[in-house]
Amino acid sequence: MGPRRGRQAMWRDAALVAGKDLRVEARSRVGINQVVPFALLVLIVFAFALDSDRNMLISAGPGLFWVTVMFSGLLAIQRSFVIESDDDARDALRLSGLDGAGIFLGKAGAVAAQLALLEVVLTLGVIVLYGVELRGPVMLLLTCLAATVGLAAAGTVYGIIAAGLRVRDTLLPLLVLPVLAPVLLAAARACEAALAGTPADGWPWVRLLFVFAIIYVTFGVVAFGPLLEEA
Amino acid sequence: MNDAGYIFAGYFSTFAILAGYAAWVIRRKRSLSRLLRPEDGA
Amino acid sequence: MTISPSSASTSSRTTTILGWLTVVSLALTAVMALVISPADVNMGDSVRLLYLHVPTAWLAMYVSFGVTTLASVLYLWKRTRSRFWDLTAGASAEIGVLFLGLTLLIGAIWGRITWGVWWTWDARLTTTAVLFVLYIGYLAVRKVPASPEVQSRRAAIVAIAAFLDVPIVHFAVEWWRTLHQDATFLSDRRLLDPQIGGTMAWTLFLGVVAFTLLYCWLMAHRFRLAWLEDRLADRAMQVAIDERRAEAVQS
Repeated sequence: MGPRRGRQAMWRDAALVAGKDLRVEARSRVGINQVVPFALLVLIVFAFALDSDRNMLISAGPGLFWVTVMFSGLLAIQRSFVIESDDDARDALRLSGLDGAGIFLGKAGAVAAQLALLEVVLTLGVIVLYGVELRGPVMLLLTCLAATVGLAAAGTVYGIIAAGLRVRDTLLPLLVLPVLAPVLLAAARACEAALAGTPADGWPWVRLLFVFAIIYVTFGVVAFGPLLEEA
Repeated sequence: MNDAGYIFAGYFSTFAILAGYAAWVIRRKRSLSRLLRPEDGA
Repeated sequence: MTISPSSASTSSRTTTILGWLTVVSLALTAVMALVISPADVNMGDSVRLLYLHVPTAWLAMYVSFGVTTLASVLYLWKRTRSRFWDLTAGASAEIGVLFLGLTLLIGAIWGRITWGVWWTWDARLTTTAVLFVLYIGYLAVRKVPASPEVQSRRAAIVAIAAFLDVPIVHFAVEWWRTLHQDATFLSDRRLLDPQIGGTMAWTLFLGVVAFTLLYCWLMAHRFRLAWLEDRLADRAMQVAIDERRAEAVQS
């Protein structure tokens, strides 16, 4: 198999796996019925914790938004691997002959798609509940794109490591949160800059987010095959 | 010396923690090598 | 480092000598730092804490985690794959986490004296804290039971993924602080300035030597312990297999 056909197979497998994961999620409705309400609930709980002072909520908005995305992302990643630990579906996936890198891209892509959907809902939530006004849409979009890809890629790498372990529910956050700390930091700062109308402050952060995304996507493509074999 | 309390506390706790860790490693090592010795014949 | 798999004795002559050298040099460091060296013009006596703070930080971040990363890469590379590298990576990371914990502890005390608070969101502090939890996660992964090869490979991949994060954390935190406030805190580099030089520089140098010796000594023992644990697990597995086999023969 030449490199060209190999790459084609990888993208085809990625599309297959992503389609499968998204179909499972769509049919189970766990995302719509539980994860989205959970995310909105977190926004409301933060408002309780920080007092409903509007100015404070506006200034804390970007940070709260990304903390919520990160925690919901953890749930999405866990779900992405739970659907395979049932009925030994992971063995089926392993034996399916699909390309390891393709499986990684597919699973990360499905997680990213769910996160993107969640971010739309959360953005509406932040606008309605916190009274944040959207400014600098280009930077906001690029930030969301890079941060979502980075979150999904790093999360999927660690998801497969923790998958199938008895301690996965506690191990995954312990592993992922420190790794994602710079994403949280950079995404929140970039959004702050966009909302404050000072985009010059935001571009270094957006660049950092893209670097993070590229590093972890590459790492996942390389490392996922060996990791899947043993999970 | 100013702040002598803080400085001595820093030195004392550092050396205590290091000594505690070293003692833990060595004691555990001894007990494990005792377990292994009968069959290794060393 | 030489390993002699056939011997189960606890220490060799080399490690014993290394151990005594470590104790002597640490004691000398303490005497130099607490008694002989002068107080700093700006920092006052709190500078004495830096003779512990800088060596532990340096050994944890550059040496311990560096060794962990290198050993993990060597483990994953098929031509050099061996249990030796996996155990080395684990032992080094544990010592690194211990040293980094001490760095944070002493840093907090120093901060209490200098800034009046135990913790501040200074760039270096934050990077160090993130690094600390990253490697705690790595150690947690090592503790999760699995077959030896699975465990080693998983640990090696986590180590490399954590290492990839280090420069990103560094830049993120650095910009975060510089964008928000001036980082006017004192730099440790000042100590190595030849004008300040003299006793203080020598004390710091001695501290680095002492902690390097300590690292080597702890590595020798911690590695040996990991190796024994490994052997014991193998033995237990062999015993279990033999028992099953004996049952099968009887029935």
